[in-house]
Amino acid sequence: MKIALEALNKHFGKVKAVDSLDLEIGDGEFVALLGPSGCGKTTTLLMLAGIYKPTSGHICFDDRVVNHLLPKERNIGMVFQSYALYPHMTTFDNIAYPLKLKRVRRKEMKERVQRSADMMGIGDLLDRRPAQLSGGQQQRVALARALVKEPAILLFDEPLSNLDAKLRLRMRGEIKRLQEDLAVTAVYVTHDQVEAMTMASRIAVMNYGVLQTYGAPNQLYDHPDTLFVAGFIGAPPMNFLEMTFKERDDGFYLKSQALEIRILAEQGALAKQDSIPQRVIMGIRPENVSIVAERDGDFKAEVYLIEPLGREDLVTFRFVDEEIRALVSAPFDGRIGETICLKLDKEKAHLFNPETEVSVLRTGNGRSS
Amino acid sequence: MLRPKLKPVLAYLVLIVPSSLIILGFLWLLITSFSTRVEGLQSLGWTLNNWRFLWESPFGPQYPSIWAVTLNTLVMSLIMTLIVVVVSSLTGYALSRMKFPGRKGFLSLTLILHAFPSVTLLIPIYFVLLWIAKIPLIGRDVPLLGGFGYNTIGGVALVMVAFQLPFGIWIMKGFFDNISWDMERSALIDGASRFKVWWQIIMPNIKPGIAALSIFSFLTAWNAYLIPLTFTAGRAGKSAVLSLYLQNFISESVMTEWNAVAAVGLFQLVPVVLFFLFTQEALLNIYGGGKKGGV
Amino acid sequence: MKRRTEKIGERGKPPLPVLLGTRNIGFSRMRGQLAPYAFLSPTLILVTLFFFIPLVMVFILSFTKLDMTNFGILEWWKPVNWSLDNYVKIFTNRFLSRILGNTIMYVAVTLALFNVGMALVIALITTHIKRRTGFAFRTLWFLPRITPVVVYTMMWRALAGPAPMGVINKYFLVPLGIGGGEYLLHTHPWVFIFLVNGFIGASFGMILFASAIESIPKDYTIASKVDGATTWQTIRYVELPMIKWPLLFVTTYQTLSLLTSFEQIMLLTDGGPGLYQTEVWSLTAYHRALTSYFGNTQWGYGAAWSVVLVIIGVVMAVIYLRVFKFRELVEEPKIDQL
Ligand SMILES: Nc1ncnc2c1ncn2[C@@H]1O[C@H](COP(=O)(O)OP(=O)(O)O)[C@@H](O)[C@H]1O
Ligand SMILES: [Mg+2]
Repeated sequence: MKIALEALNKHFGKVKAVDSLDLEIGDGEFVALLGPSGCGKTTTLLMLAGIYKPTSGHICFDDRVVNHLLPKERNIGMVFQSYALYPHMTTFDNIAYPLKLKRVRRKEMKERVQRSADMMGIGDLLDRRPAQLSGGQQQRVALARALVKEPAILLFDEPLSNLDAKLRLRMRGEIKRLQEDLAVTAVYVTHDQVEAMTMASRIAVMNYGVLQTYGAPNQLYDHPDTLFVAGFIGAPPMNFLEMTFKERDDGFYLKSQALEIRILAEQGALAKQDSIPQRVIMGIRPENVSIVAERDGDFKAEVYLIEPLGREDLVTFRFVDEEIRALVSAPFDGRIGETICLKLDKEKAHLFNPETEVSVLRTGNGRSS
Repeated sequence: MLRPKLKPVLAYLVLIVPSSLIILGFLWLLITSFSTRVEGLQSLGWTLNNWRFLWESPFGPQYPSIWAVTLNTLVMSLIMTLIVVVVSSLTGYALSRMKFPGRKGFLSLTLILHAFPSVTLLIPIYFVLLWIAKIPLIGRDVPLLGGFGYNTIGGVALVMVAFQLPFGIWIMKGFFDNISWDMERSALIDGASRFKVWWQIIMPNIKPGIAALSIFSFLTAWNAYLIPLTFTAGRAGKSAVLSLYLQNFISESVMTEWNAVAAVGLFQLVPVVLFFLFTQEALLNIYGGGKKGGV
Repeated sequence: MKRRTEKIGERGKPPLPVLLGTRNIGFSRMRGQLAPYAFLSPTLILVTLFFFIPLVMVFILSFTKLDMTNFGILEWWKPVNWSLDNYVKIFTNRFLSRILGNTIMYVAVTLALFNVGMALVIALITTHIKRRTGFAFRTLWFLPRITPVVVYTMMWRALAGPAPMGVINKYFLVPLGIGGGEYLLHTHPWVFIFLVNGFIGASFGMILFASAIESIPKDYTIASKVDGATTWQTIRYVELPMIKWPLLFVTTYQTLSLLTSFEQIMLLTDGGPGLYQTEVWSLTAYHRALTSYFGNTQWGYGAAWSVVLVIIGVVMAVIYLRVFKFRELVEEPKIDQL
């Protein structure tokens, strides 16, 4: 089922939890709603589910406005962060509840519950109560309950955030696989960008109720539209340096107290068109900062902190009063306090207007406003 | 060193001195019920005569036996408890969980109702009950309860329900306040109506609270005096409850048999004391407002 | 709806079918809107039957001279028979100030000493001692509430009785040489009114407070103990603040209970022993409306006393609601009515 949100607003008193949100989700697509906590993700999801009534705007399923449909008329399955299992019912009764309400015949109900439970690998836990299940098992019951009525849309509200790291990784894979097998439209809310990147075909990034950007994971990673998106997506996060923009005879330069680098001509040309060309924020991901021999380097910096990540080490450098982090292949052989030469991969640099916080390099396929 | 020790001792004194008054009083009651006369706590002659109402009707055969009256009391208390719990949990649920115009005022209103003195309303309620008695089917001649009109067990129960509602609603609202919203949302998405959510999902999860309110209401109803006295015709009628039966011993004759009154009083008291002993643990769940306050 | 169509039109898509008009959806939507009232309706019916209709009737009666002698003759529902005479009579009553003073004293003292004070003391102590002992004390204090009120007041009369019958006189006052062994209910009626009512009243708060204290997560009290707090400090700084709402509720609820209660006083002193010595407002209303020295119950006059009492009660309730900010207890529901 296709979903379209048009100029959707939800206000709680003065708080604009969701602020004129436009979003289209294709049939069978897996879309992640990503953003820091409190940015309006859950509110959006609950409006889709019919729990919250939009202050204004429209929600359409397959071109029908569903604003007035009750939750039970929307054919939705939802998994909550707290799982929201019914503590007084057994696993079987929990999963069967949606079918019981639909007055499905006993025999068919049993089959469907068993099928859904088996799909989630909890077929042998049917007569336990939620209190007797582990977190991971409860999560599976919640999923089975959402799936059992064969919904047209699946909604997930941070379903994995209460699981331990290992289990989370595994469930991530399972949910994605399940969604692909069932070809059901899924909206997945998370504040974890890794989850969003790995699972979704498109990610909608929100902040303060406002949609920041909407696009494929790689698109957001490689060409972030805004400072917020650039900083939010990617771990470890992107480095930001405040620079001044200079045009010289031989090209375009970015300059700060400690360094001066030449940037690509097309980047410079775009930056020049922007309204505040004097100051610019340069963003560069840690993997695009490399350690080089002295003569190839852009600038020198002092090793401040070394954090081994296994395959790579994350090294924080300091120069003058700025900081920059680099991912270098492990083991990093420098010592703390040592001065080392660094080089930035200018092709991968991002430039943002410090006033509007919008990318000056954006190619026009991102945000419309 | 003295001060920190003094406070608990003082506290115990504050508890124990008044408690001893209760003990003395009930001791006197017990002794009186088995005596012909007492002086202080001293019996001036032991007897079982005061308890003979247990096996014979002391006022003649036209009066109902104590056992019929006890059954009436039990039925009335159970009916009242049931209605109080159902009605207050319906309203408590709406107050806690549903949007409707005026909900903030409604909670205040329930408390304001408690400011209406029963004495004020007794006479008009009498007319209301007479009117209900005229309604076919529910008014009169219902088995066991008699009905809901004047001079019926159901009618008396209904009036007591009304006076118990402010408390019941506040208590129940507190329990609903503590239920997770996600659970209720989940049930709505699963296809339940609000009514089904209330009955199938939420109510089973506040059983301790329901039990506590039931116990409290039952105890209140068992002991009710003024309302049954006012709304049943005659203490000897077929709707008499225990506190009215007791009244028979008092002003009918010139000489009130106070010792028999003590015995009947104890007879009425003993079952609920036992009941309280066994249910106190459950009654202590009556406060449900964990996060915000409930009550 | 019009705006929406224009907007769609701009974007070159056909207008979407809007399902608003469809019958079954309209129906279920309406059901959703009415649901809260369905939940409220039993209460609304009971409140109408047993509070509002009676109140309106009492209000009308209070303007009439209806009594036992003219019942069935006086057409009390006709405005021609209405007057303010009853109210004039109340406010020119010689004993008005005494009755009002009695009422204020009765409510304030019983409330402070017993219904809240003693209740809190018992709740705190019984939740900090051995569980079984605590249960025993609470059972003891619950007895007055579940004893038939007639028997309960009889018991107190026996306690207060003159020597050599009265328990208090016989075992305490006479041996200690205090007083002359008089009937204490005659010499100190107010003390006994406070005690008799207070012992019943205390158990209400006791149960609520004890329950609230027990529901405080153990982490809090343990943390406080770990920080080196004494039991008293734990009570003062951890437990009392956490039972704020039950405290406020009990205070409010019991004020109103006391204001409207009269059964115990009626059975104990019936307003005596001196003229109006222990007469409180609700008892006056009862006396005027339902019993009379002349065997003639003055319903109209009694109703006027009741109406004034209702007004006092409602004003008190509203003041409490405001001062204690009970509205904070009503949070916005986190599910919308579609
Ligand atoms: N029912 C509600 N009543 C009032 N404010 C709310 C309610 N639900 C959410 N909010 C507010 O709306 C904002 C967005 O909340 P939410 O959608 O839960 O964020 P997220 O799920 O992204 O963490 C927050 O500021 C939150 O405090
Ligand atoms: Mg959320």
